[in-house]
Amino acid sequence: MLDFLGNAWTQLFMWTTAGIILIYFSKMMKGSGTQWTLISWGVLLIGMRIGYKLLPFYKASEFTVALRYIIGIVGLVCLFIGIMRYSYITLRPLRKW
Amino acid sequence: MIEMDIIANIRIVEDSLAFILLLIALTTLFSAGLRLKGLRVRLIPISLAVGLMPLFFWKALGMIRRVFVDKAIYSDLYKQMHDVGEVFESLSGLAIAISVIFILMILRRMVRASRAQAQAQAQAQAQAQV
Repeated sequence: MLDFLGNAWTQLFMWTTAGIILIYFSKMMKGSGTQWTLISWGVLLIGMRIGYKLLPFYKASEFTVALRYIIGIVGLVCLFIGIMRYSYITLRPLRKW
Repeated sequence: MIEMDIIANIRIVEDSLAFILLLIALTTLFSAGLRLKGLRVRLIPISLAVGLMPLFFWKALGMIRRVFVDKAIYSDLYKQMHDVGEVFESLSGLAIAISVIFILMILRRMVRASRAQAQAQAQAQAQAQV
């Protein structure tokens, strides 16, 4: 089971599925979908970072290896900004100041 | 050799940044889930946070392993932490996919409920006008 889940193709499929569903959310929330767009791009970029080793030119140079982690950092930052924006928009009506 | 050190440092930067950002994001999502009113509305941030937990544990373990555990001295511990991290890496994709599908189900039910409420209100207004 863990071998199946640890397979790079399985992980790429799962992360891409989650990203596509999140893009659907961003379309569903017409007025305030920016946070879901950011979260979906973050999830898709982290999925790209996880499935990056499937590419044939992976380990061709030091830059291509480093690019994998840079994609991961960009994805995480997108995910973080999206989550904070979602929390801000959701909690804004509840603020007491 | 210098290039390999750069890659090791980028890995540490990614793991540390992910650890800090996910810690802040998970705390915010759980606090949002606790402060909101309504079961369905509460479940959205909480399920997103639960879906991101394996990713957080994977990155946290990776950060602790790469920064604090010396591979040359504690090779057994390093290997065990690497194996546990692999398990969390495997689970992270599954968890985020399940949580997002769960949120999709919640949102669909919320949309249906709001549509039914709007229809009922429209019918009540029409009856009142008659």
